[in-house]
Amino acid sequence: MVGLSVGEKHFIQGGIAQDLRSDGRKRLTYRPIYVETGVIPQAHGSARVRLGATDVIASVKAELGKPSALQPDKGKIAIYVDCSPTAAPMFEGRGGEELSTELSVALQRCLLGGKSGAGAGIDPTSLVVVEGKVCWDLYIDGLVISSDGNLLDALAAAIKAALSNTGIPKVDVAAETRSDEQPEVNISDEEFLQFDTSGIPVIVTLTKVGRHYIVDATSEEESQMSSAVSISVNRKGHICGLTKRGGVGLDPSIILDMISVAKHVSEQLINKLDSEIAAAEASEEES
Amino acid sequence: MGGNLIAALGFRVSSSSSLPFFCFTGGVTPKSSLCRVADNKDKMRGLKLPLSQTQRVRLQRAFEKLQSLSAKANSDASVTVADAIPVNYEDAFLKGYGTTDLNGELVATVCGVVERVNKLVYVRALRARYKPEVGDVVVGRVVEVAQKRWRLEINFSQDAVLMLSSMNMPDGIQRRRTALDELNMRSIFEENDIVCAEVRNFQHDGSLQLQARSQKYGKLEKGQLLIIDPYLVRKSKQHFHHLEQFGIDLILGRNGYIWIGEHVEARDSMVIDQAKSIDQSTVVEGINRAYTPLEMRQNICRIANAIRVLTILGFNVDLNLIMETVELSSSLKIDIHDMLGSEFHVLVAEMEAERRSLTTKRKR
Repeated sequence: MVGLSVGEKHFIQGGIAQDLRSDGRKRLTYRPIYVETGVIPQAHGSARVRLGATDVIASVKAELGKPSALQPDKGKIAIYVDCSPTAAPMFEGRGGEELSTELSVALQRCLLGGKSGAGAGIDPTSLVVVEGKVCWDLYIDGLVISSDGNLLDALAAAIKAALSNTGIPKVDVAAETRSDEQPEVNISDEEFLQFDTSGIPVIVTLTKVGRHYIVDATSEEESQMSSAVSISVNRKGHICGLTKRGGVGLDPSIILDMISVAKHVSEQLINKLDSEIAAAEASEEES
Repeated sequence: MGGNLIAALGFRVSSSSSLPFFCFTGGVTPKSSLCRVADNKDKMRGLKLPLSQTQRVRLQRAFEKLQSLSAKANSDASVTVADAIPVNYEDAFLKGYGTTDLNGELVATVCGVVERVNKLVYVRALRARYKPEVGDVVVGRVVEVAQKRWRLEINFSQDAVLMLSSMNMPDGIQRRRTALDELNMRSIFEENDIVCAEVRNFQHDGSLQLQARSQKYGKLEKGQLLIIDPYLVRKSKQHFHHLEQFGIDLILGRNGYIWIGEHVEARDSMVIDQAKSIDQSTVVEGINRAYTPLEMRQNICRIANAIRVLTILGFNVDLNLIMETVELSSSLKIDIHDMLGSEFHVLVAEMEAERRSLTTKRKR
């Protein structure tokens, strides 16, 4: 991340105050989103999302496992994000670990809900095969290839696209088993079950610069932020998670205002994203 | 997921005329392949624009038209890695950069264009860093304030050096730089400042020396910096453009750094005035209070987006083309942000193909 001169910083702040950012966007306009699905054939589902110069890939792999004793009727989902050194030289080795953990935790909070599984965007009960014995473990991995701000939104969009692209193999369970034995399972190679992704939320990050909020900040604008709040909203308008970053404290009324702005922005974003995902799936089937 | 992300391939059609390079970038996906001669389908995919079917066809047609308008069919000049370079092996020739001897044959090691200078045969890579020439106007960012010099980053393999003695003093008097001047270097340029300067010469160790002696050079404020590929900015007579109708300064740095900002009057260095220096300090505070007026900001954004569109399409960035693109967008009443949409890209490509065919017809 290169530094910015005083004149440039002033120009960016002026642009945000006057509702005309460096590339002509308004404060609440997203950059054009470009979605490609099926980029990793070995995974059960994958997607690549480009938001301006930000480029992220998400992949979903499913494995059969045993559900935990506390929640025998739920499958397990793990989300992990990795920042590739191609995004920035400082991510080499362990340099990107801090950012990776921050992004992983924020995504888990927004998509997986609390410890009991309440408020999850992805329903884990749909992953169970035999209650108490066999369930699907979903491993969702995100990779940041190029970073130009707003990584969280891009990753959430990529995960949503990857999950729509995911086909979980159909499992036939051997009928006769004693209660203490592991049932035999037959994983089909042909039939796949698609995920129902209409309930998966998107994340809208609102960055506060001066007295105004902007959506989808570039890395230059992010360097000027005082604080940022990422809100995950689903199609029904329910808030599924909230993360605040940045060193400056916020008045509670501002946070409530940000939440209402995020709900308003998320409607358009969800529609846009769904149409892009549908277009990407259609073009993937063509080629 | 490491490895090469950007595969660049140029389609150089003529080396002497001012025809544009047409380049595209392809990401690493299982479908695309690195460094293959571009067929039209790959070009479209690599453009990273969501194009509908009709837009794709229109864009393809515009590019084909541009290619056919090039004077000489010089397509054998562009090579990819491991291509054999056509050379007369009986004549003595020197192997230059980007070539290697493989099984007795001269083969290219980079993607680029074959250049021949007398007996020297070399391959000029396309996505290379900026290659400076003496007298070039460059825009750079200060990365370090060192002893009696500033180090600027200009997209070159090393940081360029701007000596304190190569700068005009703020009060304009020609004098020897004292130790006090050295201590006050930060008041002239600080870290991360954007500076416009001229290439003075090369040092013996290969590093670059800059100078900023004239009034038009110096610190750049109140605007935005755009970074594009250096090969898109050709050497021309004028690199500083003052767009009167907008009141905007446009500086096309040869290193690919382009500055678009509010117009600043070149200060007259001969006026040594105590009152003026006080005036300047209040002006500096004034900057902090007043933002750029909205009208000017819209024009700055429009020009910046026009340059972004031209870079994505791979056309040379020069003033005429930028102004035509801006006029096209205002005449069609296209919103500033919509200029970055696929429709406008297709329109600009068609406009350029049209303009090029008209000029060639006029020449004949």
